[in-house]
Amino acid sequence: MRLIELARKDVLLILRDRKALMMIIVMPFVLTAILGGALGGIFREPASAIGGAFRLIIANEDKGEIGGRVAEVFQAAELKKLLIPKSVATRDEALSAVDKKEASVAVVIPVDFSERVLRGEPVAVEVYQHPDSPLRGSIVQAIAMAVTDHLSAVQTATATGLEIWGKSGAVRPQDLARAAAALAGQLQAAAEQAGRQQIEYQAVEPHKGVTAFQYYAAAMAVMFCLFATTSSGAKSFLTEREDGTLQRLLTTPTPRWQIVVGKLVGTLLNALLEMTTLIVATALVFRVSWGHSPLGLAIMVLAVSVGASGVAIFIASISRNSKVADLVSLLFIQLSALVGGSMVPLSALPEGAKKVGQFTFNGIANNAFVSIMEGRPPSAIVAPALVLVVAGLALALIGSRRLAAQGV
Amino acid sequence: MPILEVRGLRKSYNGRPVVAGIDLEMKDGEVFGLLGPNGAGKSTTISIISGLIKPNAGSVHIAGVDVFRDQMAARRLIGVVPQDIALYPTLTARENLAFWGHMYGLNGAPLRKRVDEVLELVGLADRADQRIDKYSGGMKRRINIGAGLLHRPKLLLMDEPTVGIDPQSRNHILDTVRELNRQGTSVLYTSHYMEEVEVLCDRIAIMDLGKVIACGSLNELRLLVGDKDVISIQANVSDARVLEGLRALPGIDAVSKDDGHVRVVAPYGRKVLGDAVACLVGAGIKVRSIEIKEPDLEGVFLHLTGKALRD
Repeated sequence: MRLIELARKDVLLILRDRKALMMIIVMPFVLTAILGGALGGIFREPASAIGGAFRLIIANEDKGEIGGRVAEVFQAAELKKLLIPKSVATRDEALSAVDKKEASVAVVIPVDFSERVLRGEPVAVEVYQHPDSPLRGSIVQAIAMAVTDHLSAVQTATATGLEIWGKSGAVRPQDLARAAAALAGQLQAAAEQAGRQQIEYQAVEPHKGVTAFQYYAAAMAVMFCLFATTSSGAKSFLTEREDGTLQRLLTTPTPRWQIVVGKLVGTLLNALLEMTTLIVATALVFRVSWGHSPLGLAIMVLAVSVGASGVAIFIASISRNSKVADLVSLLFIQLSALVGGSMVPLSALPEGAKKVGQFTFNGIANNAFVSIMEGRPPSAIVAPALVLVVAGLALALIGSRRLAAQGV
Repeated sequence: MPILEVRGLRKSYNGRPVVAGIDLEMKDGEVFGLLGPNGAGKSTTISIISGLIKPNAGSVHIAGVDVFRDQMAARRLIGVVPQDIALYPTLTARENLAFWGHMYGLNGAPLRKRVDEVLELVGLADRADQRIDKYSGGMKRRINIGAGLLHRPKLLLMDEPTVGIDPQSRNHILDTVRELNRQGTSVLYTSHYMEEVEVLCDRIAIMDLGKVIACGSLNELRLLVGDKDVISIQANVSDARVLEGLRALPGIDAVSKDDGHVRVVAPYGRKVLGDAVACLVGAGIKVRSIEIKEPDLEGVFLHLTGKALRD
């Protein structure tokens, strides 16, 4: 089929173009190495300083007194400068608030907490933190640890005391001092040993965050996918027009729609090639983990490629010549990369930029890849993938119509 | 049935007529020359015939097929060799030809066989697997021609196919055109090199300012000049007033300058020769050589328009 040959030719032209290959394969690789190495600290430490008091969500599902006491600890006046506590009814509400970044950390006290403490059964207080707020998370964990240590000691003391009194039977008053000393000794030893064995805080990190190399591998793949499509799609449409090969194509018995679709397919293939090459290369060389969802990854690679191809065809349709297309492409890519977190993570950008950035091409794609890397459920990428595909197809349609109106 | 029939063709850009009412008829198996200076409208005419540009008026039929009503059928009948080299420089000659063959609907073994044949025809079989960007200008032009031949077109449209190449490559291209014609391909050949048109073409249309001002065989065109002589004087004339002085001399029909030569058309060349040379020498111009010739296409054009083909 002619359109397949057209697409194959465009892929071959890119593979033969050393300058283009340097740009779309070597550059992202080098930038991943530089940014991943240099900005690793951003990902190991908090993305920004604690920056004053932060919001803590408390979900106390326990009806008993001990659960209430634990919740009160986090609402104590002494912690006002550090924590802005807010209570919610359920665990789901608390976790959702953190996922939506409405709070940095959530503490969940489970339904039968008090009862299990009194029965001496193991029970956990959950601390759920957003991956962007590791320091805030560890502060809450430390508080939770202190509370649970204390409760464990009490619980252990109660159990041990009951055991001692039970075994010794009636204690005569003259033996009370000796018995108390023995109990104190045993309580101390027991408390030291028990630690958090009975009541534990549990740091819940379903999204463990990504390393700098992971983040920049994804960010660079997205950014350079745009470079690949604009150089093979936008630019090649116009250079073919300038070199006369497009006019020659139009003298052959190849329908115009096949020429446009062939170009679109070629652009898409170059995008897929770019993304796949970078994913495989960064996985092999930098040991970057792209998550454990090959299907999710494949969907996102396809979505980003379709989106980038649409952008490229649209740019081709609004540019007078290849130089203008270069300029427009460069401006779009740099702006989307900068605001969309490809250079500096969105979490480290000012609030305003952060809000805008998450709606850019790079912002949407980067976040989706990070979701896959963090092991979030596949449903997390459905929306971004749909947005990219729909936007890409819409732009490709508008661009194709404009190109057809210009005589291709 | 004529292989090409053009009737009342007109095309204007911003109100300026580029093709101003052209009628042409080309017989099957003919090599037909379209001669004219730059800007005469040759390339626009070729673009309209190949279906790239829609005319404001007129019709084009190729072997009876209307170019604008049945585009795909018409495109299967023609091969186009554009003025600029329209190839992919980073692909090899073989890859380029295979690609263009695909675009004409060829595939598989027949395509591979045809690519080999075309490479042989243009004399580049031994360099077939070399990238085009490593080729000389002449070699690129030969592959540029080859790309228009893959589907064995009935009519080959060649727009200035020898621009800017060395004499050896030019000769090779002219031989290729002769061979194609021998194999039965009709060729519409545009050029502003009158020598090429003279040696290649069975019939010639001379274009100027978007119109065909004369059409016929070389001998028929020469007859338009009549018994007049063409005096070619080798001299560098930069002052337009000197040419005006020559034109004002009695017995001189037309004067033009081109490539260090002054051409004078006169009914009796020998009679006006002395006055013409005296006029030049009197203006301080050095005359290097003088030749009185039979009228050629340059002379015909000069006779018809009063200016040189390459003005």
